[in-house]
Amino acid sequence: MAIPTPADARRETVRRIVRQTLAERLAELLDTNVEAIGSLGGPPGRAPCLAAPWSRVGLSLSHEPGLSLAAVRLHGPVGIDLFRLGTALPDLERLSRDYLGPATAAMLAAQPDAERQTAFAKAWTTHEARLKCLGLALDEWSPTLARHLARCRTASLTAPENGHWVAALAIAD
Amino acid sequence: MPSVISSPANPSRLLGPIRPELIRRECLADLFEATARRRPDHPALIFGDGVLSYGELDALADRVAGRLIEAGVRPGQIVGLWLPRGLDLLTMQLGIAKTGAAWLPFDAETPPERIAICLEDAHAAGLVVDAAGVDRVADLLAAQGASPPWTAEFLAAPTAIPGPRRPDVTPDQPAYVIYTSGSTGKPKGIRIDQGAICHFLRSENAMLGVGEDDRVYQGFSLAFDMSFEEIWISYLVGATLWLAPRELCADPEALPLALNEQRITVLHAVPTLLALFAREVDSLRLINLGGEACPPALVERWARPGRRIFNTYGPTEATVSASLAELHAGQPVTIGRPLPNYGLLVIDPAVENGLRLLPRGESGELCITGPGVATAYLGRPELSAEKFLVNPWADSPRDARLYRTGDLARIDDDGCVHCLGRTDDQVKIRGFRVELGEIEAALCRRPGVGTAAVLLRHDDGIERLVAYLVAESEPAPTPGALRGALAESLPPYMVPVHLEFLPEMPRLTSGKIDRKALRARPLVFSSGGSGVSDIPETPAETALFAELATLFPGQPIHRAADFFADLGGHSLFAARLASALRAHPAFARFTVRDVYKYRGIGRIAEALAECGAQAPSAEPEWTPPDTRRRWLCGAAQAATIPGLIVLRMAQWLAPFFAYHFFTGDPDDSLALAVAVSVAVFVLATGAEFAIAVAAKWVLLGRLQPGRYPLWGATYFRWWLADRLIEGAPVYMLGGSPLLIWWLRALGAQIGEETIIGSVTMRGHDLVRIGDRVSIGNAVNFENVRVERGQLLVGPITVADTAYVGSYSVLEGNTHLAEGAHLDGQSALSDGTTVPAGRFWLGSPARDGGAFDVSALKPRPAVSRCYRAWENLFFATGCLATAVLFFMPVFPTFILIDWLDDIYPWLQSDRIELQLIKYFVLAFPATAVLIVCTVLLSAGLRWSLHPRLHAGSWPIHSGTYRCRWLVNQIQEASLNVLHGVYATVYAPWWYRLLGAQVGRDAEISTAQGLIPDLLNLGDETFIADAVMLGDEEIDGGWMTMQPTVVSRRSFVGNGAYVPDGTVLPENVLIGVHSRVPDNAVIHSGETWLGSPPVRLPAREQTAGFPENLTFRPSPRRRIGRGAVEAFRIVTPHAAVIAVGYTTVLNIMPLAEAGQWGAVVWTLNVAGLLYGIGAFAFVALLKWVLIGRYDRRAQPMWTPFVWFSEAITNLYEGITVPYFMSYLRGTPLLPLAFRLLGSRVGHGVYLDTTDFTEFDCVHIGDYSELNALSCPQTHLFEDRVMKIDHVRIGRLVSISPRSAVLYSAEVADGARLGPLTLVMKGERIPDRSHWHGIPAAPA
Repeated sequence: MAIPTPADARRETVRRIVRQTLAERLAELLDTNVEAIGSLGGPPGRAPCLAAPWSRVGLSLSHEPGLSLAAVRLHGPVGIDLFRLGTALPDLERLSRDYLGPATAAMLAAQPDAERQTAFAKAWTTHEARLKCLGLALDEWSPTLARHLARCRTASLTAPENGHWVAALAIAD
Repeated sequence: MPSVISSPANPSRLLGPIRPELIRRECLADLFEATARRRPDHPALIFGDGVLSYGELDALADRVAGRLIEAGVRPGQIVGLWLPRGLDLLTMQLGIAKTGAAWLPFDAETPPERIAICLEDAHAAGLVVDAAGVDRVADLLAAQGASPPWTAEFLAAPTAIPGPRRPDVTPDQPAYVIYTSGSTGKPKGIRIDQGAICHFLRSENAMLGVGEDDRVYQGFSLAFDMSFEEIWISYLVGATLWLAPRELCADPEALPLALNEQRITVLHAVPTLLALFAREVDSLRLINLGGEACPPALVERWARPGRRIFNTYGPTEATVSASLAELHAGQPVTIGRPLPNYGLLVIDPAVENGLRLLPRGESGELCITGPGVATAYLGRPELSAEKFLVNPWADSPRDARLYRTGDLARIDDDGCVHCLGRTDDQVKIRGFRVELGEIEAALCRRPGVGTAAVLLRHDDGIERLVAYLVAESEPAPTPGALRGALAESLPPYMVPVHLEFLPEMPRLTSGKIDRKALRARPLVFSSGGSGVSDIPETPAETALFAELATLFPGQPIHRAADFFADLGGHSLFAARLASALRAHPAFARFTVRDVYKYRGIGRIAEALAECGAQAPSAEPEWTPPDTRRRWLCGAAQAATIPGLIVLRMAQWLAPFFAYHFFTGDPDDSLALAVAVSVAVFVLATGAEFAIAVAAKWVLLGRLQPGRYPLWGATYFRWWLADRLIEGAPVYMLGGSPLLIWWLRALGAQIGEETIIGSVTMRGHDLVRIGDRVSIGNAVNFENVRVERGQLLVGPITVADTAYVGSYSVLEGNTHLAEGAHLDGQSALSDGTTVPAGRFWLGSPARDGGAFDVSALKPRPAVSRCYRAWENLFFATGCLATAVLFFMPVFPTFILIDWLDDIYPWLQSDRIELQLIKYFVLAFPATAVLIVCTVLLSAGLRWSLHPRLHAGSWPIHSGTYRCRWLVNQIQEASLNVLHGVYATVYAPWWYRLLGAQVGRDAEISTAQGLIPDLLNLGDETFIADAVMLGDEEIDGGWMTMQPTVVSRRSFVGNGAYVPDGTVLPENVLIGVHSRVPDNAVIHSGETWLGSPPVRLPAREQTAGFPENLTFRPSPRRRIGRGAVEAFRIVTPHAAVIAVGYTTVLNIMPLAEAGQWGAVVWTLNVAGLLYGIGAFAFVALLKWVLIGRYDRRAQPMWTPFVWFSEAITNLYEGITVPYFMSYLRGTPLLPLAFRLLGSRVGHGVYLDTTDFTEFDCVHIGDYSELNALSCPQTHLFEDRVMKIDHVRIGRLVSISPRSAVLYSAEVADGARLGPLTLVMKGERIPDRSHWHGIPAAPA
């Protein structure tokens, strides 16, 4: 679910808009009213969650200036991440090796220069979506972490205004 | 008795069960001492390896108490307590308790200034610290005129006579004091009396039910009163406390593992900590959550049958907790109902008009009554009067007073309390309760500051503490200086990020500060004092500030700022910061976790400085061994090489010779010649084993563990023994008791009923394997290796019933304890132990949980008699297969002899002409050899035994012997047919053996496969050295399951495909990877590593037409078939040609009885043959390929066929007859240089596994241990990709590691065992990497 937001809005405002929209859609989806859905609590930086009887519903949000994504999964955890392609990251090689693992780093290094930033964004959002799905904090890559993350299935998303946005979705059983 | 009474007249009032027996006249020390008397020998505390029983702890604390009482400490006094985590801290706490005095605990990270303030405020009698803490507080205490602190070391020192006992303690004397943030500018102290806390412990445990057999985790700081639930409830009942080391407390990965390992049954935790746990803790039967709101999802995740989860609530002012709820999945989370003897009520927060109870269901301020309510705040009469009130609804003296919590709450219809937030003006910053007044007061105390107002502002989505100040005098202090001063007395989260001076404070008519007006002011960052960053003072700060300035251009960097909340950082920024900092060599160990953990810039800088202070992880410099010694050793080695080659040639030259000795004359009996020849073959084979054993004991004796210089005398002796042992045809013994006998003969200690598939051992004397151990196929016991100019020799022990999976690597100094399991394709590096009953996996091997013993069926008993018959079977089987597969040479001989006879003009005395003649004649003859071998093995395969089926059988069973025989036939025939690997003929060969192989499958050197149970789909690709579905043996049982590789799936070099794997279509398994479990793998995925990881994307090789990759034309098929037929035949033709020529030439000498000349000629022939085998392949390589360079070439092109042919010939002739003897000598680098490799001086190579020689670059003095490999090519999507592998100087590569093409290993780096350096990767200089794929070790 893509939710456009004012590009210059405060993060707090963005959070409010997105949570409100999400609560409305959830109410439709769960066939209840917005009040029953509640505030979708959770501090900034933590995934929102629903109270019983919907505590199995997985929710995940990702914000970038101008666009937010929300993912809802009725039975089980979900993670979503959004990336706005802007100025090229100079430290991409180091980042990918440190956090995405040697294999992904090698894959990125093998990309043509023109496509590397986008490929990185794809790999990064996939990685973040998995972390969010499993409720893990960002950490340096390790085989153990990779093993955890391998539990997730992921998909790349085609976000609006293709070319500027890269997003990924992850689910785990 | 009902658990809760709702007073009918006062609906929103709840009372807990009334239990007067829980209120006693006692103090904390009494509780502990009763338990210590009851069970003195039961463990009370466990910390690392240290265990203190109740009795020991009691005695220790008595000493401490004695000294304190001698020093004048009495009941009613307060003693500060400031020590790091550990046994000492708890001993000191108990010691103070035993004096009857109260303690005032400080967290280890409290600034000394705050400690001094609190001590003075509480009129503390003194402070207990450890030796390290003395220096930090001594001056401050002296400045206050306080007495110097007592050290734990002094208090706990042994005494000759028992110290004095405490006088009588009354329940209204203080037990402890805890300070929280206070609104008046000073932190406020809460004093809890002995009666209150003792009652609480009994009251809460009446609900929780912690018992004397529980093992309780102690993780809280003593400054947090939830620590009472951990420590003192345990003391009350006699449970055991396990103290986690500090570094474990916040590690979501390691902590749950450790809890499981320690069999912890009770966990008290804040929900945030539990939510972070990366794994379930099976041993937990009770989880008590408290300290903050509990998210329902956490309950869903952790609830399970047999486990109780509680949520406890309470402010420090009401003694730890006042209410409790048992949580169940799917039910709302509340704070429940009052604990026994406690009461909860909800009042109208507007108390100015008197106290008013609200009707049930309405939200109001939550109040607490009961024996836990504290008397007052220390020295704060006004505040105490506001918060602690007389309870107008009291029923008994027990609930005479009430405490206003300041929390908003509501009581629901079920009588459960819901907490809704805060009523007063406390703010919460990053989870901390902060009174803004305390910060304002701290600012006002600074010289030059008149008025101060602090606000929590939300701007641009960022929460910031902002201070507005009016200067009292000129010059006004700078914001930087103010922040610095505040940071000395306040925790970092309380230091405002932004300070702004105003000419005048906006005020309301009442005279109060107009906070609304302040809030409306825009924040100004760009100019003025506060926009300027703090000045970095340490190297860590300098580096951190510089990196932050790059990440957040234009933003001021302050020590007090929070990375996330103030700077607006998010995960990608945190990742970039950690990576950038790691690029500084001093901070190489910094992790992104530190950013999340510390958040504040100042704290991050401290963490950074700390990790910078640790020894840098760079690999040490080392001096390579001297050149003279190397060449001396090389010369000695060179002198032995011809003999070694002859020994190997003798195995087939002797029967050659025997056969021809008895043929040639018209009346010779062919049958006799064959019989003698076979007898000689058997003797020669036996002699090879015998010579190896004899040579090992004579040359090497018993090898002792330790370090020996490379190229030294011990090295030379080990090398020679290793070469001789390697020369014996051990492949014939695999999976049978004969292998055990062989290893024992070489010095290994192996217990009863142990089974080994196949293994390489490098220091047999140092291997000890217990009884009933199972070791899989192609396991490498690499307990002798070369590292940094030294030969490292270490023991490997495998205890009873342990298991080592196929294709694993163990270095020296490793140990598998009883019942330990090491998964296939795992690496156990030097110094590692797999604990008893654990299952470890991966490279490097890591704990994967307890091994489920129940998964194993009971081991069937087997009689001595049965085993004797089995031994006979295996011995006969070995001999029979060896002899049978020797038989096809006779038709070959007959054919050559016949050709020789019918073309007499071919006869010549010139050796080179003879060689050429026999080489040519050998081609048709070898074809006969190969066809006969194929027919023989197929015949045996289809006549001797029935098909193998999936299932489980004892290792002492007909099915096991049947499996062994199949393997024996495969191994014996592959000795002749190894050339068929990776050819178009390979699929046919495997079909003939019973495997189902689809169209256009490519199979290279697969190992361990069970043909009956193997199914390879169309267009599958099995690369070199893949362990493909070998049988699984554990606990006396063999399991075989079908192994399936579906259409277009690819299994990379050296990968491990466990038995029973079903690979879906179009899957890619990376180099050296372990195939994951069937459940997780899906069609089209890419998996890499051990343990395997799914990769998000795969590099696609496109741009080559299908007719060069998957759909070749018939002409290309014929072309490749022809080249490959040549390459299969050539090695044998060469051997036969040389054999014939040699035998022909020594025959006259033998007939003349000149046996000395025979031996000499054989020696020369051996050497010449070895050199010839090398020269032939070198020549072929230079002529057909020239110089290898970076390229991508589709599979169905002559370049690939020729290149593969050269590799195959190199492996088929050059390695076995020449290069393998040069392993570990200074001559091998020279040989590789002749083949085109760039190998520097003094390089140690214990491997011959090079393919595209020109692409291998190795710097001076580097070391490549056994089975390691610069992998200069890979097949990807049926395209052969070749590139250079660059290994720098002084690099050390451990056994079975591979460096993929386009990668570079810089100078001085070290790679661990079974390590894979990925394509294009660069290993930095002097770093240590390990694992598949390689990661910093």
